[in-house]
Amino acid sequence: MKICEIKDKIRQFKKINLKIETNFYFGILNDGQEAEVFENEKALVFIVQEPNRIRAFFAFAEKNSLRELLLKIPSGTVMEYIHKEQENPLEHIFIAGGMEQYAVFLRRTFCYSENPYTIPETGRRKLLAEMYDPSCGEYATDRDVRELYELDRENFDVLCDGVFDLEQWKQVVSNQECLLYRENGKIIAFYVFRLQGKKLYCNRAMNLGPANYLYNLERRAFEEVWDKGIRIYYAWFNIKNRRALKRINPEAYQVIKSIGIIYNSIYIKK
Amino acid sequence: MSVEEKITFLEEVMEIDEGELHIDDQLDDIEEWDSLTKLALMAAIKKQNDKMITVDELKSFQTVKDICDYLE
Repeated sequence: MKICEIKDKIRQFKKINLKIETNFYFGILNDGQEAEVFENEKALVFIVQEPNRIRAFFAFAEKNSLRELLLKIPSGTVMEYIHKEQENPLEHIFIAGGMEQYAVFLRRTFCYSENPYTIPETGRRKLLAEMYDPSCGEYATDRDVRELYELDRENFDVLCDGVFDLEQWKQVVSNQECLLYRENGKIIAFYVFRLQGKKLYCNRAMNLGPANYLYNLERRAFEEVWDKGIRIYYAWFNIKNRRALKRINPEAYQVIKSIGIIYNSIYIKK
Repeated sequence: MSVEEKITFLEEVMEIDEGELHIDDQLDDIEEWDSLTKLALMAAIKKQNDKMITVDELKSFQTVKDICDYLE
């Protein structure tokens, strides 16, 4: 069944059931894309082939009906659910439907009143500011696409990290959304970012070297958009990646006006 | 530097207590062995020996002994 037909089904489903829960947002998939559908009176689950995984979406009005459908989807299917609470309120249904938690991501959105890089660093982090070189790194070009693609696959998990395919990397490079740093000809750090309206989104970052390489790239990107009036920054972090979570200058919290947090729980069918 | 001096130097770079680090420790088991420590190590070596350590050299270190062998 095509996604546009599934959208019609969900609209109908909403009319009949009034209140439904879903992890599907219109616009997330192309209307012409094909999906396999599992449905009953009170729930609908559909699975689509993504470049690196099979992904499930759902809409339901009654929990047990969703559980029944989840039991039918193929082993290895991945499902994501975004929630505000630290604990996923639907987890017990997913588990009863034969899913198991694979990863949990945390999205932090910071709204700054001042440039956080002007706040002096303390402790070991002092070196980062002392060694900052705004000319460090370069924007990725077409010749870097294959190397970035391979590094991405080596260092991230294709099931949950949103690893790019070659076409996506070409797009990122053509949009000038990737800064990288080389040593002896090899890429050892990259930082992928995107301006989304008034927000700077850190899409992914990798660093195989000392901390200042990534710090330099991130700060360079941040200060370029800061000068254009961008004050909101966000990124997703795997909650197990403690090193990434503590990368912010602790002193810079004083210039954060607000912090928004949401979670994305990722499950895989057993 | 003697081995003891090198270990003391590494304890300072990693900001860990004296006597906590041992020659056979695996670096991956040391929480403080992170990219900030690698930067501090790089800066300290540059200051001491005016020598730039490469990422390939950093990646080759598996144990505290490997770093001690590298240090002069």
